[in-house]
Amino acid sequence: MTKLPLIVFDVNETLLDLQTMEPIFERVFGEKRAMRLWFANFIMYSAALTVAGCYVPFTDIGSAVMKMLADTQGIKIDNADKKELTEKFSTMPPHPEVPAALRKLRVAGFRLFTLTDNLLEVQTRQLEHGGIVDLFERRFSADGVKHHKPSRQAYAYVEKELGVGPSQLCLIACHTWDTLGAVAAGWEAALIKRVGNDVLGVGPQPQIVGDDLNDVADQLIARHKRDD
Amino acid sequence: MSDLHHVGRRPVLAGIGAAALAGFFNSSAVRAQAIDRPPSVLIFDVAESLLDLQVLRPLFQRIFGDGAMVDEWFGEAILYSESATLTDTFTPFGELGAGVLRMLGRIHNVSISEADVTELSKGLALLPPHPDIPDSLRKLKAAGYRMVTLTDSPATPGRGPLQAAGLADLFEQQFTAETVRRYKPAGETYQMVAQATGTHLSELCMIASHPWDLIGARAAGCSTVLIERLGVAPLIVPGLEQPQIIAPTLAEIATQLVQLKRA
Repeated sequence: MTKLPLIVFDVNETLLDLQTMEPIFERVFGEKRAMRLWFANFIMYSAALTVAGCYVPFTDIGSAVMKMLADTQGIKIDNADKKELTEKFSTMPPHPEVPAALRKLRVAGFRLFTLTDNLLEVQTRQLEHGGIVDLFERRFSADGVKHHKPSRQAYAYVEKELGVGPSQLCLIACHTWDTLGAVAAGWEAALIKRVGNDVLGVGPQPQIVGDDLNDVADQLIARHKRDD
Repeated sequence: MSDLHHVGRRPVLAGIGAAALAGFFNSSAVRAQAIDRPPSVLIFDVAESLLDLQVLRPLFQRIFGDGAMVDEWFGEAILYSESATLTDTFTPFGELGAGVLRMLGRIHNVSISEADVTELSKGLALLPPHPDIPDSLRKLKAAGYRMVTLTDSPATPGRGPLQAAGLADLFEQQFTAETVRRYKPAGETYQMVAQATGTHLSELCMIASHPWDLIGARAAGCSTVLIERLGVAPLIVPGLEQPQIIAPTLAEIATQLVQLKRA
């Protein structure tokens, strides 16, 4: 029997519902779509800082980008806004299908882990708040290696910590830049097409694409059943 | 707080950004050392920094029903160029840009035709300069500055938007990150310019309206200038040095750099 891959989950938006961040952006910026602009710039600056070799903790990038976007529109942001941003981000609820789909994967014999750019204390709070923290054997933060995803170092960190080779790992994420990083590192990857996300036709492609975690879990189970 | 607005003895023309720096991140903003001698070579970013990307709004309005999608497209193209760099999976910038347009089509349930992709690439090749650019560049050139460009997109000497705008002759070389197969803000891109121009990184000054570009240039050892156009503001992060000059137009930046040359 072929060994099942160890499954490593991205957390923000993949497991947790980012849309719940909209009200704070609607309040501060006067429009809900500011949330998407913020998250896109958040990821873009996280990657830019990593490319430039400057490590800044993910939480600090998030609030700095919110401030930068507010400045471009002449909007004032205070400490209470910053606090609310961190608070809301730390308590985003799981997408509705996530808890049952995670349990289904465990019943099928898969071992579950996480790898996120979030600080360890932030993701622990997120997953505890969502009532799914116990479903993961170990949780990893890119902070542990001071290189954010999709840098090679972030994925190599998990390989080293778990003592396995890249071919034994499978990333599940809803961000194409993340599945790109995993596949380039030699992992298997599955993309969940959450609202606002889809495949990029160029560069390394994920092996599995699904509409939600249920769909991806079913495909993974079927794919590895054939390996038995 | 006032020392954020004054770098060294020279007043920084901080425009609308002055208010930004006075915000709650004030205490953590690290000011960079003043530029106290004229840089040997000025490096210009091109798209958005010199040329107006917003002229593509009608195209995005037609395709997506929303002209502001041009900003989303550009932001995602930059994210995926950074991702290609972080994962050592170099893909030519034109392919990334087209791929991102098609990805946004899938996300927004809009079909993207071959003609749409062609229209985007033609539009990019004909972007006009911002109004203050031609005079400011000529002023810097007349003051004796060596000037080059550094872009993620392919260099197009003899054609391309700078040629179309009659500005190409002002630059002694046009560099593209594609040569080193790593995109900005990777250190290798700025090092390539230093090597080719026979200068040290500390003698180079990167001028752009993208804070992410300047983060890389500064980390590599260049001095940096942010053109803080409408819709631009510095990213203020603890421990990260801010650009030495921040001003809303290249005209004001040129005045300051010309003074430095005369000092």
